[in-house]
Amino acid sequence: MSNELASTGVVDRTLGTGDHKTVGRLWIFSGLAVGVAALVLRLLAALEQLDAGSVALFEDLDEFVQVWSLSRDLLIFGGVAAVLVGLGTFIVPLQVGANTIAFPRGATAAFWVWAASLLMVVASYIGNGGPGGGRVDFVTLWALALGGMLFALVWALICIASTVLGARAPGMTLEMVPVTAWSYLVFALLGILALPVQMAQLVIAFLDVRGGYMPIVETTPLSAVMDTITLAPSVYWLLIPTLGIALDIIGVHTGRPLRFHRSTLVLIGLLGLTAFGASVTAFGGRRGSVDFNNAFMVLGLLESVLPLLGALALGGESLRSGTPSFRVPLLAGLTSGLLALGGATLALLGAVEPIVGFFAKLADRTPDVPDVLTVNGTTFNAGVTAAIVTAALVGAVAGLQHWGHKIWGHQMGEGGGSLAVLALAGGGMVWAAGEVLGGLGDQPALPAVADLDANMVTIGNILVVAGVAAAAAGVALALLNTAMSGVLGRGSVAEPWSGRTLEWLTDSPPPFANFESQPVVKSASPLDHMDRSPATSTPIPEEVTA
Amino acid sequence: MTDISVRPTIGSTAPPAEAVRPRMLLVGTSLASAATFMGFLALIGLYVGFRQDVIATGETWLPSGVVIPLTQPNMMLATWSLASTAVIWAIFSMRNDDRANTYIAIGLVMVLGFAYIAQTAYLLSLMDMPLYPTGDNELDLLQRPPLFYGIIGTHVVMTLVAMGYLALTGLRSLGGQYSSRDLEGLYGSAMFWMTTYGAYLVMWFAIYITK
Repeated sequence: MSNELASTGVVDRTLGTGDHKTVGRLWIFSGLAVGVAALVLRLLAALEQLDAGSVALFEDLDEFVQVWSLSRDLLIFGGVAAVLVGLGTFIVPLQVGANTIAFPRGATAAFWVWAASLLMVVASYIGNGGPGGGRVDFVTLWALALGGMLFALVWALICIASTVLGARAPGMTLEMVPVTAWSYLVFALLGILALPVQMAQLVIAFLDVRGGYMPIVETTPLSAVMDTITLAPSVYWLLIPTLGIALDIIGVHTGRPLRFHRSTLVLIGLLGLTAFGASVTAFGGRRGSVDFNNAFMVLGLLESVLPLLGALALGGESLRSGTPSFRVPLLAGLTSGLLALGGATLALLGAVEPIVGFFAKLADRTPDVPDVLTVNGTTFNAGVTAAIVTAALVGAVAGLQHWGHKIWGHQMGEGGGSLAVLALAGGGMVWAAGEVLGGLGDQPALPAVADLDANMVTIGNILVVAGVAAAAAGVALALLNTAMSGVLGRGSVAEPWSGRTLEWLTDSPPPFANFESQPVVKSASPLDHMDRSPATSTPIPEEVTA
Repeated sequence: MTDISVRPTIGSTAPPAEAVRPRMLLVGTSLASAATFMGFLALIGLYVGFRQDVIATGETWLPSGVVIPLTQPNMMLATWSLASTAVIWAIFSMRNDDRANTYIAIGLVMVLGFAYIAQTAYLLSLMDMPLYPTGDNELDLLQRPPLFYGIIGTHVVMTLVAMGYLALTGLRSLGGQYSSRDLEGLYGSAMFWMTTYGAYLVMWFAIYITK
């Protein structure tokens, strides 16, 4: 058998894999690489914005719009979402005690559909397509290809959600599901319900351009098609797994699992519900009463802060009562949580205008909002998105550092990890601050080289350049660190820390079918009831063998 | 204890066999159905919104000369209702291990599915709605006939997928995979069929009836 095994090459094992662990690694690597590329493109767009009132780097304004929208779509659907899906594809089956992901071939196909669609998205822009594009075929290819990426993400999320719902280890009720796996369930359900709405909008864009109902010289507004899910509070969708990962890490690195497990699950669910409600409202807001929808959006923004605060408070309780080991995963997890809270709180500033407008309407008065807070329609919203996306990226890096040993069999470098988190978090904050400052200086949200010379906008644009550059360096460092462990096999092979959930029961990396035999779960901390060996090879205790 | 961590020789890139768990296919189909239905509802929502915009200007939504007749949509609704009843018939038959009735019911669903597609094609030919703007005036650009075709086309694709899924589970039943002890595949295909039926009901009301 061993000779035949040796004949199976790396390419064969990678391209034709049905193993969720390999698929997860593919998602993670590709997501990080695409994330770096997206941020480099965003940096180019930011450099162009430095010189307001003229187009220097690009040929014309349309080209600027193309680069800007490509960077946004790649960052969210090609970078952050892909890394998060990759982590989920790898970790969730292990956490729930499944020997594979549900519909493993489907999970593999989802990755390849995503990858092919991603290449087509890039090709469409190269051929002068996408928002701001000038050729019908390539603009419609953009709509199709981006729709393909969303379709693939939905497909991958169906596999993850089905794993949590239908492949849990015997004894594991839904309320015993680990925090990360639960957050992935909420993330997946939300994506399954919200992403098809985006796909429908892309279908409309396709039909409008193909049918000649949107003149090809006026395709810039297409960049707003994805606003429904790339702006707060809908973009909080990306925070849900991040929050789960951060809380899981806190539990492991303080030696104190979250005391109120069920409450944590409820809070994560609430965050998901809010993000979904906001997503639907944002969609309806295109058509319904502006005041009514604004009120809902405000409610969504408020409701998102509360579960975030609550969940972080529960994590804080573990920090207080446990013995925290402040290593990279914990620090990154905490940074991610705080960034998320910061972004969500920042979004509330943008809600002042609709709140005042709503109550003024009720009282039949003219709304009186200070100019500095009339930020809707400016880059302020992009600032909130920058904060949220950075929080999600830092959370993903935290997850990679935490489970790196499980994923690659080698502990990921702490130095590289620290630098990546530092650059990413610092850069993200500066980037968000720059966008917000630009927004307060009235810079329009739709990418445009406006005739602006206000100091606030200029300083904001400089901050955006610095922040995006640092964030790009952070993701590049994370990619490098991952490659060092994953490809070059650098790093310690000894298991660095151990948690109480099922992924820590098996070897690192886990064997072909994850567990030597089916574990049986008795509580939300299943390993508390199992006799564990600390070595890399973990024998399954007899009491849990089926 | 058998060591299941060893990679098998044949199909070495194949995933490990999933543990036999009830309802996995049903769970996956439910999620896929939910995603499909949301996408379809979003299309209808956009359609209704665009229509509202045009009507608010005092103009008519449909291009001049285009009429949506009621007979065909109503017949299609009856076809869908009959086909859905036949799907339930197939499941009840299989629950009683009455394979002959199961195959007849699935065959009937297929025929009715094709009938729906043929009726849709006939309706579109009756309406003769232009696909591209007929003039340069603004109203032509607002009416967006491609959207109409896009929604109907999406539903036809959903119908084809539902038929394919049902045919697949039917064939697997023929092969003995599904029986009264395991109906999951048939339940899954029936669920997607009913989702497509639900989508037709929404389309029937939002497009064909309220026009």
